[in-house]
Amino acid sequence: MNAPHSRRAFLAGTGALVIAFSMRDAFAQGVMPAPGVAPAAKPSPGDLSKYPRLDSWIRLEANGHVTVFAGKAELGTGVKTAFIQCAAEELDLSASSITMITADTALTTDEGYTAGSHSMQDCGTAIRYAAADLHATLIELAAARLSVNATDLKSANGVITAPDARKVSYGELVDGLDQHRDFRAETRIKPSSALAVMGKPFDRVDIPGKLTGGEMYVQGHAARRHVALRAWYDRPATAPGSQVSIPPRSKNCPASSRSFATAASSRSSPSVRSRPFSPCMSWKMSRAGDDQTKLPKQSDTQGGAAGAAA
Amino acid sequence: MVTLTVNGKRHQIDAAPATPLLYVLRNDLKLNAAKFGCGLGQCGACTVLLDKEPVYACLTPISVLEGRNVTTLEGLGTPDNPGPVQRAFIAEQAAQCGYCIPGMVMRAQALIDHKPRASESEIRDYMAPNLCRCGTQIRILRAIRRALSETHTAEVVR
Repeated sequence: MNAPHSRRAFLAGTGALVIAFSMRDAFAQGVMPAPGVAPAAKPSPGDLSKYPRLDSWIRLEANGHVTVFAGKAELGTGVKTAFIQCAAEELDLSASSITMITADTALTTDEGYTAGSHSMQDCGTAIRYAAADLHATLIELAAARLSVNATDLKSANGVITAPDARKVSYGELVDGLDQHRDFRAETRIKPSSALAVMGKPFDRVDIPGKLTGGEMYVQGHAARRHVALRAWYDRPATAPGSQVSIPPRSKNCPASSRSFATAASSRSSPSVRSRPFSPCMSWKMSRAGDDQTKLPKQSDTQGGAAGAAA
Repeated sequence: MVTLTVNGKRHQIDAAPATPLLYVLRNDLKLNAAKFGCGLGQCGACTVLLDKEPVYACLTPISVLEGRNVTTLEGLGTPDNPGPVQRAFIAEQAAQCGYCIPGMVMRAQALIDHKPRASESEIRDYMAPNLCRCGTQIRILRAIRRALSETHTAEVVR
């Protein structure tokens, strides 16, 4: 590969790859099955295949409130808001009636990493189908209670209405509703032409907290730590090839290293404040030490070992 | 012991005088809005106001803070009652991961305090020290313009 990669060629290649993926997933999810055609046996949609119980994803309470559970974290991509939209869409429920819990090890499923654009694909799909399944069950229960055909019922804002205007709320149907059961494979979600909540602008629910110092997650770790340590590198003022010798303070403290890192808490005594070891460090300069033009090459080849002291 | 005034409250802090303010805010005062980004004053995620000036909390030792007022994002408002700049950021949905946002809001607050009629290029110059890696800059600029114009409106009403 002597020719340099051009940005255009790179984008063209990845663009083709993305298209191939999205087509396959669209068919695999069976979003729009042809009418009257029995679906072939296939795995449950999204992470319902790993966690098939309905109440792993969604729970309806007697007061009509719904709690939705996602094993993916809100890292700023907006998925927490999108999950609410998924549930609100399939349940015909206002977003304000939904409590969304994300990535809580005590409450939600373990969906692994939140990465790779999998949140909507695996979790959003599961929530949507679980909500659709729950909604279908509520319609069936309402049809039995009101003695009408399920297809004649309409639902909006958590209330199911019969053609003669009799109503029953979701909360009234909780009694006798088995939510701790497996997802039903025949469940159908709304066709995209009928979407009223998904795909519409929606204020992100995580933003007010981010604007006021609330708890939040960022990729890789929670941004709130109980105690942050201060740490710094000590390096000689010349080349990275130099070595430093330090009187060892613990078995983890190397006597000799090319660089030296220190970590300290803010409670540390005033003597440990900026360069605690500087007085006792002795730097052994390499021969090329002061040749600045050789720095990049030395950095590449020599690297540096790091020691730590509290 | 160093006495700090943060968001109008006085605190006695038991820490080494050279301790950077950021560690005291987060570890001792549990004010977690200001973020550790680079620790070198190069990203702006730790920006707070010292009196009315934006400073890097990761570099500012607490020994120089006696008798001065520190304002953090928490001092501008709460989720239920956000301040004008916070409201503008929420209205413009100007956050993605949110890591840079507390610093952005504090620097924007200083801009509004100092230059309430800042031009577009003045806004961009003033905000240049604060970095955002998500790519939210366009929304952040929109939020700042909104906050500036709402400040003008408020002045007219007064």
